[in-house]
Amino acid sequence: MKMTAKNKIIKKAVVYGVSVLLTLFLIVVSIKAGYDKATLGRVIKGLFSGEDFVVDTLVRVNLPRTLVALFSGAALAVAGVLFQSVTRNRLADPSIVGVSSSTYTAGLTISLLFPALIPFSPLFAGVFGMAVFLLIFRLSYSHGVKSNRILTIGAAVNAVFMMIIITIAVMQNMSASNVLLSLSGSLAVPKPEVVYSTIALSSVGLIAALFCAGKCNILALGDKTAQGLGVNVLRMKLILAAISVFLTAVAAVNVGITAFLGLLAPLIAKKLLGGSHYDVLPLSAFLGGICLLAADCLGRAMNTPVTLPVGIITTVIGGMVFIVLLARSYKNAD
Amino acid sequence: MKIENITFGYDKKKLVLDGVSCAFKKGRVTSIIGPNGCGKSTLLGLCSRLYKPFTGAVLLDGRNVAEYGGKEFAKKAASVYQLNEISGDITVRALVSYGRTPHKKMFELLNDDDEKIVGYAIEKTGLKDFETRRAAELSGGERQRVFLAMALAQEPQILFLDEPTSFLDIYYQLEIMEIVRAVNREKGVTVVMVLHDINQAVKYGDDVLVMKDGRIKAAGEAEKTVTPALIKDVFGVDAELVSRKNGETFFAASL
Ligand SMILES: Nc1ncnc2c1ncn2[C@@H]1O[C@H](COP(=O)(O)OP(=O)(O)OP(=O)(O)O)[C@@H](O)[C@H]1O
Ligand SMILES: [Mg+2]
Repeated sequence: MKMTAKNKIIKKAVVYGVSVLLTLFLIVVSIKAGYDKATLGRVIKGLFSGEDFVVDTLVRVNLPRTLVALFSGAALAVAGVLFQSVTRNRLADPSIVGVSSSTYTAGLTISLLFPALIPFSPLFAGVFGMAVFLLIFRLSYSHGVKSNRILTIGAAVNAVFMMIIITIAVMQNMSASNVLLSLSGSLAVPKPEVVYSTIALSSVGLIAALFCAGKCNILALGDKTAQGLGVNVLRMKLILAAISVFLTAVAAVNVGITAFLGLLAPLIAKKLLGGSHYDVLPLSAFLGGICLLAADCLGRAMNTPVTLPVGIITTVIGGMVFIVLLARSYKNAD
Repeated sequence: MKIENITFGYDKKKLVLDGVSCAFKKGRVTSIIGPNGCGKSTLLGLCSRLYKPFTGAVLLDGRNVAEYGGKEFAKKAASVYQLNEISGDITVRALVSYGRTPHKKMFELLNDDDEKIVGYAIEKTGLKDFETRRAAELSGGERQRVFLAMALAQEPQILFLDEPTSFLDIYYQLEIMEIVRAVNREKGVTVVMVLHDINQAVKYGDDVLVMKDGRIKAAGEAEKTVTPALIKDVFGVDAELVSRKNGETFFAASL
């Protein structure tokens, strides 16, 4: 398929334009969420004028949750892109290899034992997640990272941390439904300091990731070729992994283990705009935010006794996509 | 490039290279030949810093390659490996342009000079008609030429080629060999290449390095070094030197 430079620019403009519009639309929907008396039009008008009391209240109640969802979604998606660069496997995602569950374990431990440290828990969780990732990395390493080994060893590590989380929950006498809800990511009314720290920390991670776009492109050429072009492959992979784990940690402490988002968003981004990470990274960030916010809106809109956690929705949809892809990639390999 | 008494193995117990010393002369083409698994790719990997030797050293311009910075080394040495994967929908020209990376700072864009060098590499490897095609859609032989073009765009002093012709039909095999020779003669690039075809190794190599079981069996000027006796010793086949009408000689081998 041939495409002229001009067509490419138009396509990019359309894709980014639609993403921005979709994001804005979802923000409005999320702010209005569940309040039947306000129409979308009224919310939009109220947002611009700032004089509608009802809309102001809705904003106060729903904006924090909306922002946390957007930034966490972007963080998870970009973490996924970076992780796929490190493992050179488009089916790799921090949630599959135990990075999410280990960061979540750290976050949970802090919130139970040292509540005063909660705003900093992404940092602690990030450091802990990195330690766990380094362990997995070391075990998968022999003259270059073996990406399949990362996946299998990571799956085992993931299982261990899931058990630890459940053990902690049982010891804390948490009810089963509470454990499940918090595990699969709830965004319910975050505290202001959590909102600020999520936005600030994920922005730092996202910007750091963007700076690595060029290196991701070169890594995509294969370890040997990248090395031949003067990239220190091992060091670069560790840097990318660190950013990825950090972003995962930021999201995991807020929204729990939101599996598969890091898989889904990059996949769509690559389908839409091709393989250059200068496009894949920012677009994935948008799509991740959109997916998580949409999932949260959906969860709140469904008339269930308890709001369905975002994690369940993204896991169900993302999980199905993952299975289809896995089946297809095995078929291609045969 | 000089290799001084290298030992190396993929794990500590089993040495793949055991006390290898040799030199690749500046401005010449050296062919490396030897049976499967004798350590040819491993030797190239050590030369291009993919692996670190247990003992001994690889010297480029008198300096241990381990002391070079990543980019600094990539400006001097380029490699084309046996197997190359291409993912995503990157065009041929974009892929070849990556060869300029070592010469650029982070975020620095390619200038006209870079484009000229990329253009030369594309022209030389006969990829002009493929420039805007998606690299992933190319055949194995065309793909191999893309990676060769990328290495040429690096403007190295020394070029390592690991079986650059293995997947190619006889036409492309000869074409790649001619390209390599032309680059060597025109730009004075030192070439070190692993080949399985003994005749090509002798024809296109000024020198040969013959390996067996992780050691150097013979080294020297190609035509003088490779003899039927050596071929028998290294590969275990009977070879006969045959003359063609045009005066060229080649080995005909049988079990
Ligand atoms: N990544 C690796 N891990 C472990 N062992 C390896 C690795 N690569 C090569 N080896 C072993 O090292 C030895 C030398 O391999 P090498 O690839 O250098 O051989 P070669 O001469 O290039 O062979 P060929 O002609 O088949 O390409 C072989 O016995 C091989 O099994
Ligand atoms: Mg080999």
